[in-house]
This record gives sequence, C-alpha cells and structure tokens, in this order.
Amino acid sequence: MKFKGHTIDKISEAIWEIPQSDGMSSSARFYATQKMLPQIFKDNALTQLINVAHLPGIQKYAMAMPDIHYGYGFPIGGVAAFELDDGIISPGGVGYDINCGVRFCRTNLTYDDIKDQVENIVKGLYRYVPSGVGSSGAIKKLNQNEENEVMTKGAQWAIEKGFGETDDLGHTENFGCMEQANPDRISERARKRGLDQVGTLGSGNHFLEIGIIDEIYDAPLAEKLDVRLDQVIVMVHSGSRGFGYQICDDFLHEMVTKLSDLPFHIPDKQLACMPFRSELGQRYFQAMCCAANYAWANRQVLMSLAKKAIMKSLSISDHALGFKLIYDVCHNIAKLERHNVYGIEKMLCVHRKGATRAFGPGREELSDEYKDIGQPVIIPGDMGTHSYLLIGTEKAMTESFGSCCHGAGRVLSRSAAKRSFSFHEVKNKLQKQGIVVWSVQKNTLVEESPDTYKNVSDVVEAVEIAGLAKRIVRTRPLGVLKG
Amino acid sequence: MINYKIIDHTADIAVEFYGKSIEDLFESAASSLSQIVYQQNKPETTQEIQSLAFQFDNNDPAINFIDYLREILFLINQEHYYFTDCNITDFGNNILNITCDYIKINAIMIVNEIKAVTYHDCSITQKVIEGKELYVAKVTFDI
Repeated sequence: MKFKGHTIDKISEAIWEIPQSDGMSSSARFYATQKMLPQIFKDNALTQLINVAHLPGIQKYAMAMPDIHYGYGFPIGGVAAFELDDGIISPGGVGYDINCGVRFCRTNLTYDDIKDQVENIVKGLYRYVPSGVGSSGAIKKLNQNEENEVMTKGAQWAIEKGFGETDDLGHTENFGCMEQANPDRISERARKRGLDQVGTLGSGNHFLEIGIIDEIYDAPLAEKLDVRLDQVIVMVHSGSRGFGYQICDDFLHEMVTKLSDLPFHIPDKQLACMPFRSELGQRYFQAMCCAANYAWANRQVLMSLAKKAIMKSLSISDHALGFKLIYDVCHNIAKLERHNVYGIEKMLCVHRKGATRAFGPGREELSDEYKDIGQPVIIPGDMGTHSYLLIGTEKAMTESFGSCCHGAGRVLSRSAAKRSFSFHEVKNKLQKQGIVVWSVQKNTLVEESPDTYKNVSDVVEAVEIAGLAKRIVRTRPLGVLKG
Repeated sequence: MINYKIIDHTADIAVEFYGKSIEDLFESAASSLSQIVYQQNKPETTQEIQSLAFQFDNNDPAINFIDYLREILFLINQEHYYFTDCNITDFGNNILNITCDYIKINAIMIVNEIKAVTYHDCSITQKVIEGKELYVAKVTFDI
C-alpha cells in the first residue's frame, strides 16, 4: 500500500508502519483497522505524522492513534518521544490547549433516579459552571500570588480552596501536578489571561456530560473501579484556557525566530522546537508545566461545581450522590517518562497531542489503587454516542510509550458542518435520542454535531485490537453542556 | 474585491487573505479577522483609533504576517476590538507602523472564537484571481 509515495507496511491487524526514508529520523506508525484506512487517507494527517518523524532524537517511531486527523504541526492523535540529551521539545507537539483533558466520575445514582430530571440537571450545570467564549467568574479573580500557587500546586490548590477531596489526587494523572513548573517563565500576557479563568469550561469541544453505564466488558475491573451497569456518571472536558494558549503562542513565536540557529531542518514551522536541554527548551518546559497545573486546578474546580450543581438540582446530600473521581487524563502534554527502547531503559520527553497516557500495571507513577491493574483511560465519543472507560496495558508500554487515543477524532470540518446542518436539526436529532443538550453558542452545537466525528466504537475497537488499552465499560449520554 | 475566504480544515479553520500588495494584505487582514470572529455582530458605537507598531524578528514575509495576526488576534480576544480599517504609515526594514480604527465590542458578541494563529503551512504567494494579480496569504487558525 502507498501514501503519497511512501510505502505502508502492515505490522499486524491494527498496526501500520511507514518505513524511514529520506530526511526522516525514524519510521512512523499508526493504529487503525482496515476499514478506517480510507478515512485516514482522506486528509493530510499522515503527511503530518511523517513530518514528526523528521525531528531529531525521536525514539522508535512517530505514532498516531486511531483517532488521527489533520491538525497543524503534529497530527491530532500524535505521540512522539525524544531523548533528553539529543532530542527536542516542541510547543507545537503539545498544542495550544496545554493539558486539555477529561475526567470521569461515578455516582451512587441510577438512571431511574434522574430520568425525569435530566433537563433540570443540565440547567443546573449551566447555572453553576461558567461556560462559553471567554467565560470567567467561577471563583474570585486571582491575585498574582494566588495565580503562582495555581501554577505550582495544580489540583492540590483547588482542593485546599475546598474544591474536592485529597483522595482525588491519586485519581489524577501525575497526581494533578508537574513539579518542574516555574512561574518566572510566564509572560505578563499569559498571567493576565489566567487571572479569571480557573473553574471555567470554555468553548469549542469542551463539555460537561452526564450519562449512564450501558455495557460492562470486564466485570472484575468494573467492580474494582466501583462502576456498574445503569450507574450515572459525569465527564468533564476542559483545559488550561487562555493561559495555556498564551504560553504556547509565546514560546512558538520565540522558537520560530530561532529556527535558523538549529542544525537541522524541520518540514513545518509549526513543529518549531529546541533541544530539550537548551535554555529555551527548559524555559518552555517549565512554563508548560505551569499551564498543565493550571488545567488540573481548572478541572478540579469544574468537577466540584458540577457535583454541587447536581446536588442542588436533585436536592440530595453529598452522601446520597456518592460522587467520586475515577480518573483524570491529559491530552496535550510533554512529560518526562522512563521507557524501554529496544532493551535500554531511557528517560524520554514524551509528547502527546490529542492522545492519552495509558500506563499498564506496575508503573511507579500510578497510585496504589491502580498500580496493580493499570491506569484508567477515558475515550469520549461525540455528544450523541457512546464513551468508553478502559484500562492501560503492558502492551501499550512496549508499543506506544504507554499511550492511547483521546477521543473519536473529527472527520468533517467545522465549515462543512455549518453548511450541512442547522442548530435545530442537530438539537432535534439529539432530543429524539433522549439527549438533552445546552450549548452557550449555537455555532458550537453545529460544529460539534455527532456527524462530524468518527464512530468512537470503531476507534476503540482499533485500540483494543492493537492492544493499547482494554475496555471496561461503555456509557451513553443523557445530558450535555457545551461551551 | 473580497479580502478573505475560509478554507475547509478538518479540526480547525484555514483562511486565505487577499491583497493587491503585501501592504494591502496587512491593512485589510485586521478587519477581515474581526469579521470572521464577530460575523455580522458589528455594533454602531464610537470609533476609536490606535497606532500599532511592530518590530519583526524575521525576514520571511509569511512569518511576519503570522506575527502581525497574533497581535491583532490578542487585541480581538483580550480587548474585544473590532477592527474596521487600518492604514500603514511605515513598512520596511522589519518595521511596521500601522494605524487601526476599531470599535470596542462585547465578548458575548463573538460568533466564531479563534483561539490562536498557527505557523502551519503559512505562505504568501502571488496568484491571478478573477483576472487580477493578487497576493494570497494562507493561514491556519486554532479554534
């Protein structure tokens, strides 16, 4: 099989490889079933994957998860790991919404408890959770010292302010904090944008979703995670808001201006990067960690606001709701992780852009609760279809640096969505499926219409066949708040 | 003459900006970007004027155009400016001085939120469009 002159070799049923050729520092791999290939070949995402394979110090291969689609610089769904001494760090390989991520929470409620109250709950979410373009005001505007604390403490900061429980940290990737954060690396513009956006959902593909578990695939693991059939769950998807965007923008600009100093050529300026050990590389990494921590604080507050909204909407107690965070994973990040590369243990800078960590059992980064079973992995579908809770595998550790996909992946552009559907068509279609949707902006609902995404079940099937994660439960949406 | 055209992009949006000259590209881009973000939500309020000065770090006009748009987008997103007209007063030797008329607008009037200007696939080329030779700047935005 060929793609734009590049050979594509089939490694196994859901693993494909583009061998290293001129200019590439490694081969490139992508994960998909045969039936997904025509869609993947439609846009230029594989060219972007090949571009990533040109970067110096890349280990094993540039990778794209089954939700791969065309982005800028890295493809969405891209994973690349680099040596610390000879490799690079790239703001474009992380993305603008640094540590955009999703968390999955369980409750004591069942479908019967809320079936007549879904609209009420979604209204409650809208009332208590600031959402939409430039949303602000969830909590009092921070002062500079408080903002510094958000940057250095992450989720812990929110817990200290009364948003959630200490136990949540063990259920959060990296325990909700990257210790390399250094607020001295943050520009005045980024600081200004961050002052009033903690605890805000934002717009675009960010959402709050209430759903129920409608299928169990692994009963022992489901029991271990305290999730069961017909149980009401809540998902929160948001990131570092304008703060993270400004940090990415600041450092991309600085790195683009220094591209001619580099001893190597990059095929796309959005892949602008610096050696990881360089002064600028380190400054970016420390700033990126600040944004990652900001995002964890944001989702911690959002989750707490969502919990409060549900309790108020149903007039029930904390105990009756039984709200508990199962896991929080990040999608856009560069992290230092130890991995085995062809038999040698190495500390690497793993970039995940629109991809999720999916660590298998035994990793020291996991809390005691998950160390023996692996890390929960969350793959949300579009707002009209299923989402999945999975568990990381040992195969993921050897195959993909412990990585998996982050969602369904887009197939239709936002412009095409607006040409194809109206707000009322999308809303009515979801209503017929029994899904209550509130969208702050009409455009967002149309742009995020279910028809603009791949079938998430196909994506999850590819993940499982490739061995990157294993399904535990499936959920279906009842109510969604979009920004 | 149209000043811009939105191009399909799977996850985000790409835009082609058009100008009779490089200077014209810069002058019309701020109002084009405002139109994309606010669409028809242009209010009739007091017009204000701001002089903007840019020092470019690069000799590549496409990168300079991206860096100019980054500043314009910051002012749209953070200060909620709707740019209506811009006129260059000095352009050359990596310096751009430009005077822009703008209307201060409310954030809730944003229809298409554009979150960032990317360097991906950016280019400025000359093309003949409808019989006119134009400068075309292609830019991908994160939304």
